[in-house]
Amino acid sequence: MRRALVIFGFMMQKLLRGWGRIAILVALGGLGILISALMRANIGPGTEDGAAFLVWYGLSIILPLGSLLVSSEALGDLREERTLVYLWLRPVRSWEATGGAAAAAFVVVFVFLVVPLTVAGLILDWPMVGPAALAALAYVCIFLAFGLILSRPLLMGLLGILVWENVVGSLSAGTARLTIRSYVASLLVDGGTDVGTPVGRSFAASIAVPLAVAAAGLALTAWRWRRAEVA
Amino acid sequence: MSTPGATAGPIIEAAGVSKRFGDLVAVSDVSFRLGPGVTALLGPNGAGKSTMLRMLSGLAAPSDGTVRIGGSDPRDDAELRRRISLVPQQEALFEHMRVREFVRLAADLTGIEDAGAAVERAIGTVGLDPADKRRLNTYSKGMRQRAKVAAAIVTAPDVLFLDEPLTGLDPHQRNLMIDMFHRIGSSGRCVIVSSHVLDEVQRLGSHVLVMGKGRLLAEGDFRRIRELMDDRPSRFRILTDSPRALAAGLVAEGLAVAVEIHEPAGLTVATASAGRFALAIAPLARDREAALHELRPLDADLESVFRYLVEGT
Repeated sequence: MRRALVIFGFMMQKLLRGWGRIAILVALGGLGILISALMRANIGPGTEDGAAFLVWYGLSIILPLGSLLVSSEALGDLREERTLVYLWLRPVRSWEATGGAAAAAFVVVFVFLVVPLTVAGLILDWPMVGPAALAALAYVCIFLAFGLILSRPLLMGLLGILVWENVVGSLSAGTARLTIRSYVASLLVDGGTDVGTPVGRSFAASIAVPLAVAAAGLALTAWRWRRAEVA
Repeated sequence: MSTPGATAGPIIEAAGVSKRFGDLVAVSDVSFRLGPGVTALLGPNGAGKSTMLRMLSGLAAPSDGTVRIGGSDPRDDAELRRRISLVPQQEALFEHMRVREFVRLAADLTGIEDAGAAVERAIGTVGLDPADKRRLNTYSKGMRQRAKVAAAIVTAPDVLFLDEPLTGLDPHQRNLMIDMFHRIGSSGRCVIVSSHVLDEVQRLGSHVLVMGKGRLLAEGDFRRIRELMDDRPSRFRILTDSPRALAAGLVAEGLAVAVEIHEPAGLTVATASAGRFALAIAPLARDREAALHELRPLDADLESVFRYLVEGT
């Protein structure tokens, strides 16, 4: 556990060092709050349009994008820069490395995106903290694995978000079941509400599926950490 | 000083180790056993030294064969890595860190006691300043190399791998480093240092593993290998305006065991005594009124040494 904390501290320092990345996150979060305020002024709180905006902008765009930006580079950067060796050669268990890195990426995404989305939700009178936090967790863990496994994690992640979460998820109610946003959006609104993606998953499924995705991402990352050929 | 090899119980064992990257064979069927002390891993660039060190330290899995450190597989045993350190060849570091933070990270991840004092000691040992506030991205190549070494020794490992650690160091720093390797080796630990520079290896230790083209070409005492090298004829290429006159003089003085003339202005000379040849060639050329335009050793490089070791040519 102590080593996981050391990795966490190291990753926090690394992730917060990239001012460009932080500026993008702040801009994305700030834009969400600004648009929410404008919408409230025009259409009032608690509207279906407000929920649709939060699902589209928050759960479908900035959370996956922001999580990709942060998480894929947590371990992925080290692999690309050939500095992973300095962590891997220490007696760090795979779950300690994975857990520490995932926790740091999640904290960054939570502070810079989930909190602004929660504020946007408060402005539009929709409870965003749960859905946004759960979505962030799932995306962070999946993209952490991307960083360690894929040679171009950012590009592949962007394709994944575009093709999987948006195109595949929009094809039918059946294919929407394969996307994270369909489950977390179901925590935000009731079935039948038109928010641009099929909702109405059970409460248990809406919690369990993103958690299962997160667990799969962590397991994949830990497996890859153990089997990696470190340059 | 401890002598690596079979006298002490082996710490490191490589048995039939090969590594392939697609069609490329980087390491082929290498076996050896090493005990405490300093071992030099000698070979030209591309010989497979770095790949071998990566497999020994667990960073890469052998395609065939086994690696054992103290009887365990370094790739599967995370706790074993508490006893191993590697100074990798690449220059990359955590650029945003200060040297103290970089070395402290290694200490904290290993979980050593009294990490603060150990960090101070390690940084001081390599001649850097623990209080240096500059970030690593401002360090020179030599300073970066020493920072890597400090991070490797801070955990007081039983097995220390160093991949070309003397690169970028000035002569004084090289001496300090080599002395440190010997101190560590003398304390019952196993130190393997790779290099492609013969003179470095000569000073690193008497026990040498020689690699070339992915294979273990020779293993043993450096002096024996050096004798093999010194016993063989050395060849020189000479450019002169009077190759025949110079060739005749070289043979007459007993300085050449073979001469090949390349008209109109060149000759290749094989000599049994490179030192004597080097001293005598200029006066001889003057006596024979031959102008020397170029004198070039043809086989002073490591590749020719390895070719000689393997093929005797």
